[in-house]
Amino acid sequence: MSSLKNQIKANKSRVFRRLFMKRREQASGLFESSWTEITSDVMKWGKLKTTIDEKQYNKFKFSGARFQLSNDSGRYNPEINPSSLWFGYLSPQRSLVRVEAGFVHETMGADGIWSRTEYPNDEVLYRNISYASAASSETFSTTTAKWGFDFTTTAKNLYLKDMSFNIYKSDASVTGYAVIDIYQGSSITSGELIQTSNSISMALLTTTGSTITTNTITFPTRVKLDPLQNHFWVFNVENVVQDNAGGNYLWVNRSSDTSSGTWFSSDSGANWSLGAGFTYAHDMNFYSDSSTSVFSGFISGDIPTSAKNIVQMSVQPLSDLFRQYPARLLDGWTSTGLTASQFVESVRDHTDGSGVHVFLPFFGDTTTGFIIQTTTVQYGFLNTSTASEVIDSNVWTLIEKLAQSETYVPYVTRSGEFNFVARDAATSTTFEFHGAKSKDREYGLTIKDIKKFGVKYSKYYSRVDVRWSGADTETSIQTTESVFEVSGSNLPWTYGHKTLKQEILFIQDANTAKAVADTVFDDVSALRNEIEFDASFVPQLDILDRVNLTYNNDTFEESSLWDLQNWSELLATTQAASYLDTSGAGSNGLSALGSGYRLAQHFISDTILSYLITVKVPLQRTLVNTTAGYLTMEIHNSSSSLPGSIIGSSDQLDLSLVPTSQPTITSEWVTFSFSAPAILSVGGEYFMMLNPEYGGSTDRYKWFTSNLSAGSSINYVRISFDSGSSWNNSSNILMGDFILADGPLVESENTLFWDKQSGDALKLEDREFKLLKIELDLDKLSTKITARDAQ
Amino acid sequence: MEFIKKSYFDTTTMLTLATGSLTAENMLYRDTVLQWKSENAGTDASTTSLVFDFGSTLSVSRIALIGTNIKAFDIFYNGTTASTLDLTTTGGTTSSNWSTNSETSMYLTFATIQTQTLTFDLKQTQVADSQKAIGYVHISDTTLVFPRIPSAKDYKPLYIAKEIGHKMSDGATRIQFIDTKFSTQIKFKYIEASFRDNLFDVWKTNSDLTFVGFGTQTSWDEVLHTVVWGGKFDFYKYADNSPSAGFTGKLLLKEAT
Repeated sequence: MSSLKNQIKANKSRVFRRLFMKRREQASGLFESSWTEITSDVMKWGKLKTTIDEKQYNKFKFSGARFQLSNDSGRYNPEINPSSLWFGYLSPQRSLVRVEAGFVHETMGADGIWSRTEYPNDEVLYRNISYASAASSETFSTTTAKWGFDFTTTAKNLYLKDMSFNIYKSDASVTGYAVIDIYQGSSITSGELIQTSNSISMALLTTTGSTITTNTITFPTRVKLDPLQNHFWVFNVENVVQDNAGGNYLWVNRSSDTSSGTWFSSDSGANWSLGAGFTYAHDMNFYSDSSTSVFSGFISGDIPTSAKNIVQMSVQPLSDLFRQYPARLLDGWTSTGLTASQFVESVRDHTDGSGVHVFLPFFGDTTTGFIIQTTTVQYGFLNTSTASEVIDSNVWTLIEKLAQSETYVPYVTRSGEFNFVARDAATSTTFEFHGAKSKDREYGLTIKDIKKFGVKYSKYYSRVDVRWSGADTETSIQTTESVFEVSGSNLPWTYGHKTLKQEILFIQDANTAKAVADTVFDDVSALRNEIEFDASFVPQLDILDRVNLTYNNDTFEESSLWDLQNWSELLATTQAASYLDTSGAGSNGLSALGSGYRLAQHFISDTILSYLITVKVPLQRTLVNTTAGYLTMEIHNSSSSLPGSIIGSSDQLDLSLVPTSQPTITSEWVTFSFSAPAILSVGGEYFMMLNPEYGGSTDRYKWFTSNLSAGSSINYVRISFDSGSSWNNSSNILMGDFILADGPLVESENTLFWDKQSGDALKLEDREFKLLKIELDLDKLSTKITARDAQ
Repeated sequence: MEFIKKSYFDTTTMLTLATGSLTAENMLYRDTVLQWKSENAGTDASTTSLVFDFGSTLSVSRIALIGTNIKAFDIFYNGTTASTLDLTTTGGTTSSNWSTNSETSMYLTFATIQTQTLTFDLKQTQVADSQKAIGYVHISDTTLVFPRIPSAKDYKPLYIAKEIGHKMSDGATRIQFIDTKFSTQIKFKYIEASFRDNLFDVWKTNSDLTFVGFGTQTSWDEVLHTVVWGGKFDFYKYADNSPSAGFTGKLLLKEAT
């Protein structure tokens, strides 16, 4: 089946690149209505780059584009030349430019007709829930009847564009109109009405349903649907008029799909019943707007021609429109000031004084080209064009400073849509990258090379200062910082007490400044890895999208992790009861009480490496009676299948680091580090022994297993109740999970890999990143990405 | 083998059709995947007409149809069904009425007609009751019919792909293909001065050309492309020591769009 993923991973696929421009009329100065394609003149496409957080936190940076065009036909001559594309139009300067790129899939049907599908295309939520025969239809016979259908949006922000139904009427006398209402909420009764469609005129409907024809229903503005939220569409016939008496007057075809999610109300939506009144889902097409556009901008700068008739055309990103415009020329100021979102709205609606919009024509000439999330803080100085914060600023500077104050981000999307929204990166993965030996049938292999990977110490800060007032007062700088102490687990002590200073003088009060400091601190106060890699052509990604990355350049598990007994990633809930009870007579799993108790697991070192640095196990502290203390993990020789002499002991593990709830993923396992490595020999038999002696005499620990049948002549357990003087080898006790490694382990959720050390290969396992920089090389059809560990 | 004129059909405004107007533009592009498709005409019981009106009377002697699924159709001119074309290409018919066509492309050569309009009456499809489709229509007249064809070793048609190769991290190669363009080199030996002069006139033309390899009504190889002939003109070179032996030279044609 053809899809964007299939095209991206295909060994051979067809790609398209297109360049369009839109001129302005000489008299009105307004843009012409249609785009002119100039693809055939392109000699070099160049690169398109978008970055966030590069030099300054929360700051987007958009590159321009530079196209090399053939001017053999004189199409790029100055507008006074008759052969120029701009002859009869305004100057090429500030002409709109759009770049489209993606994949195209072509197949010929048995009927000799080719189908051609371009990707990325409209993402379809629900489409063609199969049409049934005309006989299967739901009927409206009262204007108080409503039908609804619930659906959940996908991970990305979506924009409902249109819907399609097969609707017909009982006879020609039916007039009036119907609409579709869109609700968001957990239930259809409490959902918030977020949009109503344009009306569907009854005059346009046929009076027979025997031929399936669809009626497309559009919306006056694009409806933004929040990701992963429950929504409902409701067919509303309140304004349909039946001129003749009696009978049903409107039908909507239904399918034989018996899935749940259909709702019915007979009282204009006051009460709803699930599935009542009808059983079947109705036919619907439901799109989101995702185009093949990868860049939108405008021509700005010199357009020189060489002796070889080659023209260089510089195109600036649409955000530069605001940079070029003085803020003092704006209007819409109010005596009490404006909120940030009101200010951006006033920019959107700004006119030249004669009612002609200044910015809107560059964004599709529609207000839906601006996505503005509402803010509430009032900025008093936004009350006049002569305010000191305004008079010397350009519009973009003001927008950026307001965004900083609100921890929002202003940016223009690939398709030329302006966004002023909270910096809430997508919460679920939009794509997976795989490289080297990683095999994945769904996403295929797309990584060409990993250029850099490692902890980004330079972006770690233990303190964030936000100066919000120019005055030197106690509260003019709001700070959020980590507690500093000399401890092996204290990040400021380990990596230095570094401060990120931000000056955001637009912030109106100390509380807001503190909230901004908190938000930024959450993002920068953890050590995170950054990765830079090259991939094949992946055109649909946006900044702050989340992606998963798996890269396996070597047989890591065999060579780097000495032993691994993690039988499954997630521990089944049945293991909650699988532990040794206080009598030591439990049948499953392991546990220990404090004084005198020891748990020892047998293992065989099976690698050529001999330095044990890390032991990682799933422990839970189930009885907490001690406030302070520590655990250690000891490595003992095996002597007659029992723990013998000690050959190494881990550093002390503070009790507070042992979770009091059951660990479910490896990142929640506790890590015992060995400052002095335990030296093991290949094939040697050893025990790892949990020593809770200093963890409180009445505390209890569970050591979980993910395999209730684990345990064998090699993997077995010994327990002791007398500090190891004697050992019990109950056959019913299971092996706990463990990972032994010859280096430090770093993990994030569902991910565990061994930090690369000299001479060993890089391995990343299903690791989640968010995208900070995307560079699309349209000549080489490659994608360069910089990404940071997702939070 | 010949050069023909640019297609007279170069804008959809000269086309009248009852169905599929949104895709009519596709018949202007050589890309056969882009097709004109009828809408709501997926029945062999009804005829769909395409009427090309050139705005003035023109000489027409060549029609190319590429990427079609039509089984039964008629072509006539000046709006008169009886004014069919007198076909000279070898095929199942010598007049422009087909009832059992199974070809997906055909190059029609016929005695030159003078007409302002051409009508395609499309009746039935090769898979019954399908929507009717045509990928490319070229209507024109000849510029230069080569008086002879080159030997096999002197005609080298090529399709060259514009593609990007990726070396992946596992060592594999991935290709992302952009488009294919035609090019050919044709070498003639011992041609007469008149042919040389005609070629020289074509070479001097400050315009692109339409090249047709071996146009046939059946089993056509679809070699019809808009090309440019750049570089040198070397047919003034004598083929042998005697001037009467004629001339020798090469054409290097590369697809333009």
